[in-house]
Amino acid sequence: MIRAIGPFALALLLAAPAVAQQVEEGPGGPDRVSLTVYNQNIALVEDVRNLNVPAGRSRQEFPSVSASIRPETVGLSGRGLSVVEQNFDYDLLTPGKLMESAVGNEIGIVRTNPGSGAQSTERARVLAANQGVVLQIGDRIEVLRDDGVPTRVIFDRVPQNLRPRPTLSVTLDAEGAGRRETTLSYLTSGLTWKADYVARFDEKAGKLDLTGWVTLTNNSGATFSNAQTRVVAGDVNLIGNQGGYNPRPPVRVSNTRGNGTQSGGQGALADVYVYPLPEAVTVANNQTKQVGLIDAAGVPATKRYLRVVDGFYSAEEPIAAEVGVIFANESGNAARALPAGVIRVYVKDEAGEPRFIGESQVDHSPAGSEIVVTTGDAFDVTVQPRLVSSERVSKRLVDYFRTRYAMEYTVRNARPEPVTVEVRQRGLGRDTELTDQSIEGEMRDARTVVWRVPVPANGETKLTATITTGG
Amino acid sequence: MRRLLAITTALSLLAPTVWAQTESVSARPDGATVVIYRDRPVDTVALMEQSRQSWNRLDRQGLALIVETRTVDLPAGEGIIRFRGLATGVVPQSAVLEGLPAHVVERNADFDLLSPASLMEKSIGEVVRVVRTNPATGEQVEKAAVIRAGAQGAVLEIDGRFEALDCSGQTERVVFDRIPEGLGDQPTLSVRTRAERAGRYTVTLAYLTTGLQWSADYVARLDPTDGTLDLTGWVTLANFGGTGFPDAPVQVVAGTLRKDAGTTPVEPLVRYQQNQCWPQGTTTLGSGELANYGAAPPAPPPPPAPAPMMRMAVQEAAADIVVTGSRVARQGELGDYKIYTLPEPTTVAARQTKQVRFLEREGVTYERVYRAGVLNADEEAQPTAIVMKLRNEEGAGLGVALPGGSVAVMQPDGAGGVLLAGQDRFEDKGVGLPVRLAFGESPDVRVQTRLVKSGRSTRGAVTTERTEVETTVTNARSEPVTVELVADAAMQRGFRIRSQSVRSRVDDTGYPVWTLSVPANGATTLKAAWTTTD
Repeated sequence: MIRAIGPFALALLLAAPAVAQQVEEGPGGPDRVSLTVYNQNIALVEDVRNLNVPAGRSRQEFPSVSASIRPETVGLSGRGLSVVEQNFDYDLLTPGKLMESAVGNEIGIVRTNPGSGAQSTERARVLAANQGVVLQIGDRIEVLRDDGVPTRVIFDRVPQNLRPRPTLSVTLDAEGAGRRETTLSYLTSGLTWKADYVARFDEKAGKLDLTGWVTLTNNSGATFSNAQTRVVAGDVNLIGNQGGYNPRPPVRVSNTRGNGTQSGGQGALADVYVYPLPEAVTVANNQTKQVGLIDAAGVPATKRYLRVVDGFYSAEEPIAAEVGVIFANESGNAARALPAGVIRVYVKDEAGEPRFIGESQVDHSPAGSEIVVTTGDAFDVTVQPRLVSSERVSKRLVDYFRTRYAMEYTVRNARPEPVTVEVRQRGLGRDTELTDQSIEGEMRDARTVVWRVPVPANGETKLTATITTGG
Repeated sequence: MRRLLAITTALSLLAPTVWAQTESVSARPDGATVVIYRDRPVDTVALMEQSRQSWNRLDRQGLALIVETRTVDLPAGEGIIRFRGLATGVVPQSAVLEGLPAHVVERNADFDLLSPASLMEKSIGEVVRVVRTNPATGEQVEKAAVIRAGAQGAVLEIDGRFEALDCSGQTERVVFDRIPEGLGDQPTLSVRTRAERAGRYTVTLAYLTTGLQWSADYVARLDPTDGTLDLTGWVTLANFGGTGFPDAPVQVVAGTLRKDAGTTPVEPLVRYQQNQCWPQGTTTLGSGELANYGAAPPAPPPPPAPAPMMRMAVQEAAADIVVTGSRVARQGELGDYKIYTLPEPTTVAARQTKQVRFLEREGVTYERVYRAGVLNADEEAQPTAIVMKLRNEEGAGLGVALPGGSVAVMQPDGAGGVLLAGQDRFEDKGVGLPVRLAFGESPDVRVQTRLVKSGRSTRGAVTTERTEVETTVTNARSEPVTVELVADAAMQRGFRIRSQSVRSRVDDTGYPVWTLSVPANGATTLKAAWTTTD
């Protein structure tokens, strides 16, 4: 390991003495770090460092913690250590701050004569740094660069509290001096994960091959090197503002929540699923990292055409049916909980090349769930509802809203093979009665009736039904 | 030992990929296939209009699948293969890599971009050189320095003391010895592999990208003498991305596909240098030119631009339009979509629009009618809508998949030229579906409905309303026309036609329609009565 770092080590060795002179930076980074990443833009970092702590009170700095740290969640533990206070300093070192902190102190100034190029060095005391810097040089009072002449300012020191990056510091009270392992744990935003799946669907064979990846995104501002990483599927309760601006909040438009009842095969913890990554990974800042999650071949899958009709009306134009690929994570390699993510579906084109046909979100699905991936709208399969008539059923005022709707659904298929289209009529009211159905329907729930309509190749089927409802 | 530990940990921080044993780079694909999708109807005119706006984010819209073949050198043992030259809108999590006989440990997309600010920020603690030029003598002095603070104004440590960069008014610059690890010119995709032995392989890398769109447009040339038209369909391909695809087989997919909102390219992070020097006021500030001599008040920090600089070039739409009409794209099937393969590999250059014919049909029968609703009493005669009806059937000279798009209808002007009769758009039409196009209103064919009688009767809790109308259609044209009158009341509860002078029928819109023939320069009247029960 050390051999691989040759050229940089030299530079650092040069730099190291200079660093040691002024600011106590503590150790550079963690010796060991483990990450637990949740779906909701939050992660738990456990950072183990071997610290040399003097007896009694001392202040320890932890540079290279995540810049998106939530300081109120920091916890520190180690043998014989108790925490007096924790500080998260985000007073950053800038030239302006450096000058402000030099007020009342001496600085060196170097003027360069623009005509001759001669340099003159003087000591000066900074009197003020408000809208300009006022200096006392000997018994003269001057404004820095009043004449515009190039003037370098040389500071003797950098104040302790100004740092190049936000820094966590902890004041410790230690029993006895010596080196000990300390664990720093905290929550940070800027780390999130989701799953991405590729489903290769073979319609003829009625099977799909599912490959899944854990996609980890790190915008936290820190790089976690060789981190033992695990990801947690399932939503934990979070309160309030998670702090800071998150440029891309995780979008999770739920369309199906899995309803499986099998246990998932992965360690379930507090009603969430935990997936440890197989080996330590370096999660760099501004990086999206993907690690394999699932690989299951030959999962039985079917295709479904679906059209949902909301309310009773005539559509002037035919409406395309939605195409969905349905499978279950209940057998073989697929018999496991699937974390929420995007499933992208590919089919083979006429030349046998895999081609993308659409994608949709799935929510966390326990094993044994039926998963529907809606890929898009069918070009050749359409449903056109028509309200043939609507009538009041009874003359009584209490039944004013009860209506008998005669509906006709023209289901068209321009494909060279017969298809079955699921037509769902929604918006049913109270006491629904179905009569005169050309195909026997099924009440999916009290508000929805479903018909499975077979349509011949290059043909159409007219589904008719009378629905008496409401009142 | 203490120091060594500090160095290794610091290093692992600065150089995350330093542990990688071997790295190989695939600079560009050997070949690529481009498949362009659409997740919503695309209107060519609106798209072109949008592309002229400097703020457009068209490089972030649209969706295409890029299938690349690449030759990669697989390192033995643990290695990293980097893929460069990807489309600028690549969605990294969609990548699929096939044909690599190695265990892929992980895939990474790095989007930390090299900029002056990130160079400074990532070099904190590094040794650099400061070069100062004496303004009078031109003499250059070089000093070693350690960067102590970065992007919000650099603070340097020189000889154990501290100075700010660029606050003195002197010409000075920082010379770096190397680029910090992990900073690149563009987002890159890489895989970490583990293989028994090294080798050279041809792999397939497929990924989704934004920035490519396509639209369909039709031109219909009417021949009123025999009621047929000639229909030409054009596919417009537009590449708003920054990557061209030379000599690529190109396919476009018709049909509305589902796209997830999260399928977007990563926004590369570009940091902006914000130099915050100490207060720069002087006793003469703002009172003369002297104050401006190298000592201007600090400029406000640049606002963080919404679009990174590298994308700015993309938005200067110098769109190059190419029309290739000699050959016709071939239609095939892809799942439940229609896929059109361009006749030959073509170059889809960056920021280019290209048009290819995909449909050519002659002698398509059409019907031109006038249409109006019959509902209320009209104060004066209303114009009718001009409607052109086609049937997408083989018997009518068509019977092909028609991807949704706009139609421009041309008709002869009677003097040997053509006139634009109007434009309309339609959605995807499979075989067997009616196509209905509306071209505005006719001032010559007018409709006036007179409410002859309106009655209401109540029996118990049931109210029946009876409406009797007389609708007169006038035709100022010198040829007979067909007029369709729609009973708009048909959606009301209990609607029933009680009497009608012309028999109505339900047409393909699902509404009852009375069809009248109106003679040239003549008039025809419909008498109808209906009831609604509520």
